[in-house]
Amino acid sequence: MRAPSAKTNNTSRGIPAISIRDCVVAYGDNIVIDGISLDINQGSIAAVIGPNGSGKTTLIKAIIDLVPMKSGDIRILGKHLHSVRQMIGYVPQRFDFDRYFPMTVGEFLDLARRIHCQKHFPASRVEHKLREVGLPKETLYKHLGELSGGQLQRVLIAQALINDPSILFLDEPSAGIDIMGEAAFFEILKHLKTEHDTTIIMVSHDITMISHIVDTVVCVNHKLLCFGSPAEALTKNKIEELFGAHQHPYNHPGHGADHDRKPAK
Amino acid sequence: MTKKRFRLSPIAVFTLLAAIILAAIILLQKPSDRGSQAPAPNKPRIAATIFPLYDIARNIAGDNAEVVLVVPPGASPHTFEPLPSNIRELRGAVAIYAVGHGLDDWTEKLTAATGVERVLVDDSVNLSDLRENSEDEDGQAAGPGHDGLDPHYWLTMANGARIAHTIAEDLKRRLPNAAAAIDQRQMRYFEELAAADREMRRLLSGTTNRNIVTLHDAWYYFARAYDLRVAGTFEPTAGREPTPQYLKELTDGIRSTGVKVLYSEPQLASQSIASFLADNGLTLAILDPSGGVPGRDSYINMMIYNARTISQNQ
Amino acid sequence: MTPMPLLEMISYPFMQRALISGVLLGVLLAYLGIFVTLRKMAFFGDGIAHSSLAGIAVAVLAGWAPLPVALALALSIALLIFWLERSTRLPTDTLIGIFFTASMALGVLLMSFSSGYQPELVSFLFGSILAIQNTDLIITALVGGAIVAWLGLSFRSLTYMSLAEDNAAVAGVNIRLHTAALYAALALATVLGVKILGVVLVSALLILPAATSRLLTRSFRSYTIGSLILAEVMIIGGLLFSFRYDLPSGATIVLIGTTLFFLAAIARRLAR
Repeated sequence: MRAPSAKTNNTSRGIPAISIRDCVVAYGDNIVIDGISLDINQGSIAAVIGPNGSGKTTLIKAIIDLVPMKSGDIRILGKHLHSVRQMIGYVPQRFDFDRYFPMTVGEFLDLARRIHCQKHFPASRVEHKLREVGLPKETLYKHLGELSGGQLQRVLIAQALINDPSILFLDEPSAGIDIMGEAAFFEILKHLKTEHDTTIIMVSHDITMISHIVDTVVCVNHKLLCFGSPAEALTKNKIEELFGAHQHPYNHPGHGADHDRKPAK
Repeated sequence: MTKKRFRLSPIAVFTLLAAIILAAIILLQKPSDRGSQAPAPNKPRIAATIFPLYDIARNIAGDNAEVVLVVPPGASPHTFEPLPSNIRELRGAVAIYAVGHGLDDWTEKLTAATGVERVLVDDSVNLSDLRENSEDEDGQAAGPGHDGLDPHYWLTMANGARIAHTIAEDLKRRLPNAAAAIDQRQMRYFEELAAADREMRRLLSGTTNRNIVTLHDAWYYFARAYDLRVAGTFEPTAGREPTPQYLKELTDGIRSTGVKVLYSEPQLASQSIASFLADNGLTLAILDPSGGVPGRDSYINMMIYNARTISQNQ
Repeated sequence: MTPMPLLEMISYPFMQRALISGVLLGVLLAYLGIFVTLRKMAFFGDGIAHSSLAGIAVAVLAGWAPLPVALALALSIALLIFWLERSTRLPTDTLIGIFFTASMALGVLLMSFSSGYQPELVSFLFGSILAIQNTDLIITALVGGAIVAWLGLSFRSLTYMSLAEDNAAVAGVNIRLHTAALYAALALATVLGVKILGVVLVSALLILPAATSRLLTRSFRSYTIGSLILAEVMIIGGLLFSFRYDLPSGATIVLIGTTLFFLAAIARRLAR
């Protein structure tokens, strides 16, 4: 199926944050992404869901060129990736580094700053980013290995935000959310959306978590299975189709459907 | 409530420990045993690569020069690598006497590092070709830097005398004031060498089987001078283990000549000869081309020892 | 009798060459060692050192200078490993194990063809302070200098890439180019170190300074400075010691390094 394209508009606001056309990703004979096309609007919070092995992570990696496409075209804010790299932020699923490696939080974020930021953002930006993720200034002097799980997760998000990205990708943040706490995580996302109008794209397999914070759901299983607001996309049937399980998000207590959902065209 | 505790950083403790150990090393230094002192002003320092040359040189030089030995007794000149202590010792030396022809070519490194002059002692020695010596076509191939000549020429008394003469002439040039003393010592030494030569021939006169089998190819000059024949060597080329084919030929040679002994050397180790000896019913005896140890503590004593060993074993 | 004064020790040309070469090596190996540790490439470093034996054997047999040949061979093998890593599914360990041991075996085989005695081989295996000639020094200065310059420019990219490769890729760091260059630099620096440290032990100097510094420091800045200082202390101390006592330089340097490592471990405990 084909997702509806965004309306072409004179203002730059109308350009989709992400625009994918006929993306195919294959490893040898194994086709992981089988022709996906979609647009994601600026300022939306989108979730890419699907079962394990469906290619949802691969799709994200294709967008940011961590895996090569066999064919297809991807535009970010209307341009190719290489000219808009400094507008991208990425929080990977796992961060495999030796936690006892001698490096302070400040040095780590400063390193990220220097590599990511084309313009010379001042060093004080690092402190600012820490505050944005809810960490005090003293964290700067802490050794990476001294951080608790939740603190480390926040630092990794801060690192992804170091260049004030217009688009933030998060790959399977659920493990990190478990450590940090849902409330804290959503605080950060809300802050990003309201203060910076950041487009956020999350890969997730946890429907309940995403269903009340996202406004766009993309269902992927090698092909595009659905695209739209949570309510539209996550009908019972769709969920069964995807996961073969009985999970309806609106049965989950405590979550109301009070987010702006952009209607699909 | 915070208790104020004095905490040293790991770096401080580390530096402290390292400093302590360094101080201990410096304070407990053993005095240097290989002469790091400069040569005495009136007594020039000369060096010799191997013990025979060293012994000959000190007999000729007497009190007029200090002689140092580079390759320690027990070490092989073929595999010797100069050490920093050698270089320290040779600083200020005027000459180093060397055999040359591939035996001690590492002296070039020494001369480059210290400026000492290398003097070959092969003047007037009749050098023979290695291939001729070994009487077979697959004799020692000349490796890089080797000129194909057999360097073991000091193992005859006649050559010993020639070496002594070369050293004497060289020393007289450097120490013209001591020329008379040097000549006197030279004459006396010639007589000692001649007497030793007679003794060696006497010792070998009773030996009926004149074929010898040696471990390595040092004995061709010796054999020719004292009417012996090297029937074969265990190592086909210097420093190389023999191939099974070669061993077969050697075994045939041993059988046909009736040899009962294999002559090894103190400087050479070879585990594989043990089985060869057992297989062929041979015994092992030791010949010493270098000397410098008790029983062979002079050139002359070393040569007499070799003659006696052969006479006792053949 | 007094111990030989330091000044007299360094008045010998061969000692000067060894010290200059050693100082430069210290810079190279300390900084590259940080990446070796971070990326867990100790086996690579050791393997490259062993593979240089083939290059040395070929050169000694042909009568060429060993260093350029060994450098060329090590560089080729390193880039080959890099390419194979990316294009096959074989784990790097396997590739290294195969290529480096094959190269060393070739070296041993070639050495066996040479006639006569080969005393030079021993000094290559374990290092010798007498081994550095003027041409070696020039090559070390040129190649080593180039590597240091490249490291200076790329240090941040390399560090970030080694900590968080995906993030570095997203930021636009050319991962393939930097990784290939790192492998190449590692191969070249290791071979440069073979003359003083010996084939068997040179890779220890990729590990010891960084490992020791790690025990003592908390920030990345102190870690890198510490690695450098420790590498220089180990190398220079080892050279002086081996000069004084006629010891093989590689072994002396490594044992001094190991001693410092244990001292650091003790210091860390005591400082708590």
